[in-house]
Amino acid sequence: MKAFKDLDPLLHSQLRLAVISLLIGIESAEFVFIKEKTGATAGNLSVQIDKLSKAEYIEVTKSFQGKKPVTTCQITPKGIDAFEAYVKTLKQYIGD
Amino acid sequence: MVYKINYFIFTIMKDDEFTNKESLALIETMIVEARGSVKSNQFYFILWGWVIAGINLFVFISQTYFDFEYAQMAWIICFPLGIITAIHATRATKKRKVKTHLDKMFSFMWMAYFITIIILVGAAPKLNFQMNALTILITGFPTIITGVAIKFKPLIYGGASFWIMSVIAFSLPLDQQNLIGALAIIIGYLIPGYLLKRKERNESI
Repeated sequence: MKAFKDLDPLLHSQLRLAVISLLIGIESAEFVFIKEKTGATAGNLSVQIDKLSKAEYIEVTKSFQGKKPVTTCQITPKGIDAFEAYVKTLKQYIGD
Repeated sequence: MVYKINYFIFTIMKDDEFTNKESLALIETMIVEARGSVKSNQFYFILWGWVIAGINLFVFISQTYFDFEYAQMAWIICFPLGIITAIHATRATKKRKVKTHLDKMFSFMWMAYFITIIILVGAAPKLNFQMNALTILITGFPTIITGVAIKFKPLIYGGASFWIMSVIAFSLPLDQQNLIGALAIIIGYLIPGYLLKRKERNESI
């Protein structure tokens, strides 16, 4: 297996990459939608979303729908750049 | 589909590092999943299809057989209904767990269409009251774009049929344009709307 030293370590994680790949194609998504699509546990997903948020790859908004709290995630321009750079590097590896 | 993805993710998560191919496969799977989240809003095509077809037929029958001079007033119902539709669509979008770029584009496109129609109605006297033919012509544009965006051919053909129907409507007297208006909306909205409803029902099973 080839080492991926140059790949963004923040994105080179299965769940974080899944989250970013999901968000890249949409305007925004609620936590439950991401959980359903990735199949991750709520705890693990929360941790990974927090990491992406701290890196400013995604923006997390907390609101209420009636009395129900809703967490919404949206990819940021920095996140889009990071994802594009990740895919570009990945393509270079495949091209080798 | 969800189970397949869960299996896929759990399978690749067994390794500490995943390969470049697995990484690309994961990206591809997630992008496809996100793409499948676009809502077609067939409900609105069916609702407006029946409303416009009904008003057109009402106006035609009232004027032709009953000489009802205020028949055109029936069109007024479209304005409150348009506002109700906009409010309903906005609320429905807010409630959704995911918002796509296309959803946003659709909202603005149909809003722009509604505003265009309002301006046209205001300018009716200057346009020789060719409202039906003009509305049919303009309706073709957002319909065909929606059809292309959600990759649904009956809606693309329906959108194109509006253009053909508008050419026919322009060649007819005003009272007969209502019949073409009804026919255009049945072909352009109602038939694709019901086909879309059936397709979505089949896909959800």
